[in-house]
Amino acid sequence: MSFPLIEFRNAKFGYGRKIVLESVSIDIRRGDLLGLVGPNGSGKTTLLRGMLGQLSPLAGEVLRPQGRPSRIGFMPQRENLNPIWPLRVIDVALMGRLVLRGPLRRFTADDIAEATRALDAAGIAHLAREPVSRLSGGQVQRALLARALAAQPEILVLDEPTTGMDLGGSTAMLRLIRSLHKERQLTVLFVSHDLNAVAAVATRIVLLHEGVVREGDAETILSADILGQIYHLDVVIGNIAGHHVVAARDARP
Amino acid sequence: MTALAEIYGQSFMRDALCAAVLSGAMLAYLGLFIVLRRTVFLGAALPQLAALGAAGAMVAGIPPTGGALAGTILGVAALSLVSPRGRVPADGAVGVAFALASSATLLILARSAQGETHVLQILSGDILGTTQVEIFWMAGIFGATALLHYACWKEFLFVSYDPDMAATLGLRIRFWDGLLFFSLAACVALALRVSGAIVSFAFLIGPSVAALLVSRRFPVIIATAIILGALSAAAGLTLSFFEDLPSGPTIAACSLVPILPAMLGRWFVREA
Repeated sequence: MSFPLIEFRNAKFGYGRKIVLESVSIDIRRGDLLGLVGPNGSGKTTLLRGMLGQLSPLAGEVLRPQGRPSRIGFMPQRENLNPIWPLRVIDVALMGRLVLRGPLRRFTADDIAEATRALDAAGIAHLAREPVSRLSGGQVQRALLARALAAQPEILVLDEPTTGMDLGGSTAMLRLIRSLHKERQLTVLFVSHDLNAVAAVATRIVLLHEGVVREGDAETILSADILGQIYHLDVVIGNIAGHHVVAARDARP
Repeated sequence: MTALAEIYGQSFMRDALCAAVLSGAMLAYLGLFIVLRRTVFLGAALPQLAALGAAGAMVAGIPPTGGALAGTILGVAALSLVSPRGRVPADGAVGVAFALASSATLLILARSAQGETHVLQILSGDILGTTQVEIFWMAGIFGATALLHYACWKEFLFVSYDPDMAATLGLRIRFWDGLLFFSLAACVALALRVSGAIVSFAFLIGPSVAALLVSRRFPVIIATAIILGALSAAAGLTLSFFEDLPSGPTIAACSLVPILPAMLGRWFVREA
C-alpha cells in the first residue's frame, strides 16, 4: 500500500457552531487520483479547506505523516479570480514558484524555466506572454493548472476543473489530468459536481452527503442505489466507451 | 514660462509643489491595489480615518500627522479583524468605518474653537502651508514604502490576486495583507496633512483608473499611474494659483481629468 500524505482521523469540520462534517476518516495516499463528489452543500468545500490547511478541525485530527505539510498545487475555480488584474499568463504561472523562492527574493531564470515547463505541460506555452484577460475560460483554467504545477506539488488539488467547459474542452482537461497523474506520478484530488467527469478519471472516490462520508471505487460509490438515495432520482448507470456513466432517467420529481 | 518661474520662485510654492507631487505619485501607485482589489470604498474610508485621527490631535493640541497616522493604523487594524466569511460583508464594515469616521471628525471639531477652519483644513488640506520638515518626512516614509513594495512585490501581488492559493502555498495572508495596508495607511496619513481627505481619495482612484485604461502591462500601468499622479498634482497646484481657486479641490479635479482621455483613447483603439 502506498504511503499516506494526509490522514483525516475522526475529523469534525464546521464554522463556529455550525457543524458541516461530523466525522471524516480518510487518507490521501501517494499516487492517488482521488475524486471528491457530493451534492451542493454536502461539505466538499469545507473538506477541501481542511485538506488545504485553511480550516482547522473542531475535533479529531488531520495528520501529515511526513512530519511536514505536503506541498499542494491548488487549481481554484476560475470564477473566484478577479479578471481585471493586468497579468500575463507567465505571471500567473510564476506565482506557483513564490513559496519555493521565499519572501524578499526575486524570481530567477530557473523559476521562469519551471513556470514555462508548467505552461507547456498544461498545453498553453504559446500563450505565455498573453494577458490573462484575453484567454477563453478553458485557457484560464489551464493557466491556473500551470500555476499549480509550477509549485512542483506533491498533491495537485483541482476544484471543479471542467466547470463551464464544452465537451471538447472538458475531454481535453480530463485527458490532461490523467496524463499528469500517470506520467508525473502526481497525487491528484479532483473535486467536482460532475459525477461522470470524476468517474472518468478517479481511481478512488469519496462521496459526501449530509455529513456522511463514503469511500470506494467508481463502481461501488457511484451506484444507482446510493446516487438514487442522495439525489432522489431514478439513476441509471451504464458503461459507454469504457467509461462509468451516470444518468438520471427522469429529472422531474 | 516666466509666470511659472515667478510662481515657483517662491519657496512656499516650491515646497507645496514637492509635497503635492510626492503625494500624487505615491498614492497613485498605492491606489492600484485599492482599485484592483475592488476595495475603492476603503480608499474613501482611509482618508476619513486619518481625518478623524488628525481632528482628535488638533483638539488635543498635538501634531495632527501623528493623530492621522494613529487613526489610519488603528482603523486598518480594526477592519482586518472582520472575517471575509463572516455575517458582515467587508464592504459593510468599511462603510461603517467611513460613516463613523466622517461624523466623529465633525463632532470632535464642533467642540474646537477653530472648528470651521480645522474642518476645511482636513477636507481640502493645507498644501500652501507645507513645511520643509514635512517634505523630508514624506520623502522618508514614501521612500521606505517604495523600497518595501519593491522587495515584497510578488507577495503583495499574490495575496491580492488569489489569497486562497497564496494561503495554500503557505503564505501568511494576514501578515502580508497587514503589511500592505499599513504601508497604505502610513502614506495616506502623511498625505492628509498637505492634501486633505478629498485630494487623497482622488489621488488613490483617478490616476490608477486612467492607467488601467491605458495598458494591460503591469510595469506600464505602474509607471503611468505614478506619472499621472505627479503631473495632475503639479497641474492642479499651478492652475489653482493662476485661477485663484482653492488648491485642494483643484488638484482633486485635475487628478480625475486623465480618465476621460484614457477612456476615449481606449475606445478609439478598440474601434480602429
